[in-house]
Amino acid sequence: MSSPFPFSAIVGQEDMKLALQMAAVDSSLGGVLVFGDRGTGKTTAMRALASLLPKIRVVEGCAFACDPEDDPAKLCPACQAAVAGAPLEVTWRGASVVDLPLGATEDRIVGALDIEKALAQGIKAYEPGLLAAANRGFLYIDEVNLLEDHLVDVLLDVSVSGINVVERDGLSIRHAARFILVGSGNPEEGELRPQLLDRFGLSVDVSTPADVDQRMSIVRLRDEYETDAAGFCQRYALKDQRIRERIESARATLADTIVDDATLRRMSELCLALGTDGLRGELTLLRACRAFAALEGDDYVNEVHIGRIAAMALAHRLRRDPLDESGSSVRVQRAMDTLGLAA
Amino acid sequence: MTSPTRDAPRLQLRLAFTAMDIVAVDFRRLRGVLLRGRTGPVRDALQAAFEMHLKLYRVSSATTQEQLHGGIDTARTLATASVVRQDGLITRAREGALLLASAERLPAALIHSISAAVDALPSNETPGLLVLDESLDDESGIADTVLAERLPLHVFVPDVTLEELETLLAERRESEAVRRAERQAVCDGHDYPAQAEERPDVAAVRLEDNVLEEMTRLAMRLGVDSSQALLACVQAARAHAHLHHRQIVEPEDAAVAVQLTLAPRARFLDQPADAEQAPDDARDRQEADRPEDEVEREEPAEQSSTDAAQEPPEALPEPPDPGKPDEDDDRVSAQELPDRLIEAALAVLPERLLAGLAQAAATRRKGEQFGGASASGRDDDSSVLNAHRGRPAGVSRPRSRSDVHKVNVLETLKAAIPYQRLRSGHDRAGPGLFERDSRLDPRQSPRQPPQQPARLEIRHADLRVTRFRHSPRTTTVFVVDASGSAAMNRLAEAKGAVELLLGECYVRRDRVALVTFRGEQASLDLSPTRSLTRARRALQSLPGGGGTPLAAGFGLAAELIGQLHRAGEVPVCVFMTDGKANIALDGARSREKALADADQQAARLARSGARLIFIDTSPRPQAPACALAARMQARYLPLPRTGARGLPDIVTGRV
Repeated sequence: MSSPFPFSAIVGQEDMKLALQMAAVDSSLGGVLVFGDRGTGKTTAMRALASLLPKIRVVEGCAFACDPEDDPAKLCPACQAAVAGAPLEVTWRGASVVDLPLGATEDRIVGALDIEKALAQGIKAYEPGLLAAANRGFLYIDEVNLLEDHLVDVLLDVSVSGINVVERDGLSIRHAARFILVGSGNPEEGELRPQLLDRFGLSVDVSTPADVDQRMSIVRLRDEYETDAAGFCQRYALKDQRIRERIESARATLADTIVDDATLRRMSELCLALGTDGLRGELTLLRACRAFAALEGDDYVNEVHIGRIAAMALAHRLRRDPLDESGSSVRVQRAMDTLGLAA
Repeated sequence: MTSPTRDAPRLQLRLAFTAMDIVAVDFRRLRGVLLRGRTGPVRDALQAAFEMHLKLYRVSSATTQEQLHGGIDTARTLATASVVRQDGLITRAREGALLLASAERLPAALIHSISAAVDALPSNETPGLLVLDESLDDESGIADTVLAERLPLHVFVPDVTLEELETLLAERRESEAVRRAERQAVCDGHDYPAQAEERPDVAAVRLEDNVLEEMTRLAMRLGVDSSQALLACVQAARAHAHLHHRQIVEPEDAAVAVQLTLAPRARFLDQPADAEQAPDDARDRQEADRPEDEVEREEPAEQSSTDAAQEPPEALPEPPDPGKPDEDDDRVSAQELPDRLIEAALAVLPERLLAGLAQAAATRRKGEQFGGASASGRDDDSSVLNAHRGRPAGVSRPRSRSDVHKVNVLETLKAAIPYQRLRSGHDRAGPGLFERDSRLDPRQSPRQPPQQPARLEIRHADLRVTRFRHSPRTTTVFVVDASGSAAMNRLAEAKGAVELLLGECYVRRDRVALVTFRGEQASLDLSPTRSLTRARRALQSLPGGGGTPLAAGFGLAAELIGQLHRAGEVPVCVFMTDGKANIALDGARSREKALADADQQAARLARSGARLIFIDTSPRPQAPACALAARMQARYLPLPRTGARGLPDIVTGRV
């Protein structure tokens, strides 16, 4: 497998890059939704992210990428059986970034009876699907707004509970499926179901830069990469390494990043002013600001952080009426202006 | 003024074949070609030219995911009781290319999984792609899908005479023979597809910054946002330079590259004011037809980019023939390059397309194209069961051999279990009792020694396959009368009713389209879309007034219904009019003729087989409207009596 385009070589699209890094820092953030036209580097960024992420510790040979340090009760059945006998074999590997193609069947997503074993050996075994593969990693859905409804239902279930429950083909399996959902799509081609929209923690808009120089440098870099992928990646390895370290240190300091009451009050005021449904908006805003502060290396969350993050965390939650106009980033901005929050 | 498109067919033919040569030069990077146009000798010849370099593997709408990606060969696995895997087409076409014929009819899932595969594989394992798109001009083909995005070269199949084709082919054969001889002299024993390996310096062809800059500017002027298209342009320019043994990309290489990559993707054209008549006229006409505020509100981005790019109007007095770039003119000043590129782009666009560009600018963004269109169901017509996808809906026996790929193992075993005693008593009962379909019997020999642990005996009759239920998508077409009489009566109420229906359609994930008629003609104000915001906006800015060209409205609706039918969808058509036609189909102001025309079109609608609903918007129910509704076999509802609230239920068929 040739190395993907380096993350640090992606020109522009700062919002998208920041959102993906934040999602990587705090997996409880709830994923990222990227809206924009085709050819704006969404897929490229996802592939780049895969090679950028810090390595994770997994049980050797486990199909669900169990964490050996986890509470034994949370491990998958195979690992539970193994841990009773001897210490688990541990290995390090990159976090997975799994593609969910639009045409995927439900079998492929949740996993199904292992036909191979059933036919050849007469054994009833479970063949893990994409959700298992995405555990502790990223699940990427391109054109998520075109995903068929019955698949959306499955995803909603799992993304909330973090557990994939398979009750089919005479199988009864449950396994952890905690993944960071990243969706991309073009809203002009169909809207996203509000339920799914709400599930995403952050949403960012990407567009092709309108600046000739920037577009030229995109093509130049891309062209260099296609000519000599290995050499190109080598040149950006150090920059990528720096981003990786930044994510790692942010993960370490995340828990110690403090949100004081006054700042939290400001967040609540903002959400109240915008009339976001439920508490999910506030919670996401809180987490996102904390992740951002951690990435920036700040100990306290302040209003500058809120100003940078608010649109990402809240804009997609404002749409209550399907017939409502959708210029929601503007509304967030306006609300922040009234509250005197700096953007 | 000499039309730049008069020589276009011949030019395009040459260009199309150049594309195939370019593929051969750099087939690792430029192995995707979209061939747009009808089938015929020209397309066959192009396909053959492509096939000379890359072996083709056909993908059809019947191709399953297993066949594409590989998997277990169920039939043979059952037969041999050991796992038999088969390579998918994507793997097998690693060194060749996938051929997607009639791509506009292929199921979306297939298109998506192919483009996902192209993305995920390293470039030396990606199959090439030859995508044949036969969609008509008025249909949204494959051009806007994820797949087209990933195809570097877009080629139109031109309309040329057989003679012209033959001439070119003969020419090519000749030059090919010369080249072959040359190569033979240089190095022995390489065959043609190895050309790229022989001269591995395609990437070494230099590309000057000013050329790249002009390409970028042109991409922006044509509304090509994708960086991938621009990258394809760069690579195609390199390959073309390499083809002509140049070490640096010359303007003519750039021109050809632009013609193959950027021009076909053009969404609109920012034209220097007086340079080109045709597109400007078309654009003006378009905009005149649309209320001004709407134009402005719909495309703020495009409008602003129009303004931004308006300043470089080096007027082209006479578009010269750009097809034959001057061979000896090798030093083109920076000033001339932009002109040259835009000329190249213009020359390659068929006239109708050129005229339609302004319109395309308006509709492409707005309308939901194929990519969005086919999230659900394009492969399955109204047959809801037995779709390959959707929610599982029970099991049944396989109906055809291909069904075997969806075997439901558990149900199959359940079906087989009751017979196991009978079957294990085979030896005693003698053969023949269940032997009819023993092809798939996992046990090759029924006479096993008794001490062997008994294995299940599964016969063909036991096989059960999972059925899926998949609802074909519904598109509701609103045909709204915006004429003076309607406006006076209750256009506002009709709008309100449509808005209610829109909300309902949103819940059901249906698509909506809006056709209006007023003045002298009907127009498709909103091509089928799922985006409610757009639908509402189109409706709100709908102006009223003018005559009632009822027949034109009916005719457009009938055409749209036909298109939707062809795309495998279920169209529902809602007419909102008072039925008082006064403009005939040809624009004549004659009440009698208008009514006769309307009547005729109504009959055509009746034949379309779509579900039609006729909502009479006149103050009180009218005989003519009622008669028209009867003629088109529509359900007739006077608006006053139903009240807008009840409409959604009626349209969605619950009443």
